[in-house]
Amino acid sequence: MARSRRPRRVARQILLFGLAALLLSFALVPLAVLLLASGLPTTSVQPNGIPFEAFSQWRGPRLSLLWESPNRVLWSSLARTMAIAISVSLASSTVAVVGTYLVTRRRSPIARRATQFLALAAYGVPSVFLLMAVQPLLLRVPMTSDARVWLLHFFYILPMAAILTLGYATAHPHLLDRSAAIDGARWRSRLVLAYRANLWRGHLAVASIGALISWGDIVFSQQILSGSSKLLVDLYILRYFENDSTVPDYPGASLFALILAGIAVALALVVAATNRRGI
Amino acid sequence: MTEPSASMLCLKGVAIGRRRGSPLVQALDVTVAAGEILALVGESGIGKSSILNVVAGFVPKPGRRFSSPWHWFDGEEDLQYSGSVTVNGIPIDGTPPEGRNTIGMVMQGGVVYEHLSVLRNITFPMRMAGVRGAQQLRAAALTLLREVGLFDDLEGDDLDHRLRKKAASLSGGERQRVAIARALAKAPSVFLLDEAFANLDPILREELFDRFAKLIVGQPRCAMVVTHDLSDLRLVQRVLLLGPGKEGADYCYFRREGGSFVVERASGDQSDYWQTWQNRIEAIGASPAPR
Repeated sequence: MARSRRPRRVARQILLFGLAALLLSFALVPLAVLLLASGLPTTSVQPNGIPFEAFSQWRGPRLSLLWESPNRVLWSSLARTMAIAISVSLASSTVAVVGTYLVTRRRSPIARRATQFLALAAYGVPSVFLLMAVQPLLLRVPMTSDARVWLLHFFYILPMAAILTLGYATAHPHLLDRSAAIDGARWRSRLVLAYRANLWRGHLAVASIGALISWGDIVFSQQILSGSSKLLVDLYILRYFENDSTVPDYPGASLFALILAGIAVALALVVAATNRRGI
Repeated sequence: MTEPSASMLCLKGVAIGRRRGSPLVQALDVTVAAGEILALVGESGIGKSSILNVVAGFVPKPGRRFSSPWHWFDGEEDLQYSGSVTVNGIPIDGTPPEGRNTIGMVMQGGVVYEHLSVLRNITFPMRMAGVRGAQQLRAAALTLLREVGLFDDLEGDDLDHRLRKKAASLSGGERQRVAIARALAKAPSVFLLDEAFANLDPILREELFDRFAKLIVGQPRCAMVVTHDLSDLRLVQRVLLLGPGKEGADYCYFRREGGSFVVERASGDQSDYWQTWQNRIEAIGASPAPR
């Protein structure tokens, strides 16, 4: 019996190892490509690709590129990017942690599911569509473009943060809250106790993920745009709305976004109705 | 400071009901005198813990106004109660749990704040009351530890080491002792124990209940204890037996007289349920006296 199980176990281990190697290659191949590409002569990159002969000139990453004049703007962009990504992520995750903690303290399945549904539905709408939906309002409010982007990212990250922290808040035992209350702890002390016991883990995870999402969205624009348009994609689109008199088919685009948002809302409804805990 | 009165805890005409549904407990009159332990027994789901929660302040009165916007977020209790609860003659209805300074409670299984040190666990209620002096807190913690018999064989660095360790590292019995010590830190008049010693082995459980009884009997404190283990009745002075009635739970009162329990208030019902429980309680009362 044991002998017949062994080949199956070996086959399963080979399969798992193969899958793990595949996943690792997904993570490592882009890094290897970037490492190779960063050492190529600029002239070797052709519109139809990179000839293999170019790699013969590879002498390691050309770090001097970082200080060349066309890339100087990169550093200020990176600093701004980091400031926006971290501050947005910290603010939205803090609001989410406190909000979901308070909602779950009511021990009402309806309140918890409604929060989950609203957060999922809001997060299901891609940020560009969110921008389209709120841009007329955003443009009317007197504030800088950076502030507009900050707000936009805040409202984009907040639902995701709420979805993730809801699980942490639900898992915080009510008996601990009750025990703290009878020990004389008022709301603020109970929140601090819950935060130090459980919620900080969720806050850390969500703030990190939020910063990475914001960062990714912002860094993306650094890589695909050039010159003065090295802006956030969202900001670029915002500027487009602001400056371009030939506004695209806004009603048509809005309808398209609405259909996609409808799908997200339907999915959110299903998840919120069937998911008893956090995600 | 309020002087302890003979009837330290008094529940008068207390009825507990669900917002939408049948009543749980009707017209309950209970008094617990200083130095007395009242045990609440009966089948599961009959309302024993709900009575404790009324005293602790977790069950609201109908139409209760929230004392602060934060209280909107209090647990959506399906229960509410009418009647009055007094401690040392002072009504405590409407006071939120954090304002009930005369009540100490040990929750089911003995809740400890695992991320805090043992010292910070025990002194938690004192810190919530605004006590800040490190020396004062430590001295109080040591007194409380002695009262519950925890770490009483340690001193010096060994004791400091154990006090600084996270409560997550404590064993089951140590957790219960820390939970009791924390409840004692409020110097409450009324102790509430909601199956606090459940899930412990019988010997440890008996030892802890003995120690707990010593903290109450003959002291200016009283206790209400929910228990499923009838061996706890050896050390209590009164028993409140809850059982099914016509409208919500009916109840039956027993008082210890000499070496046995006598019925002080009988249930109107004479069904098998009451007879069976009465026999069990009287059998415990007739068992050998506690050590």
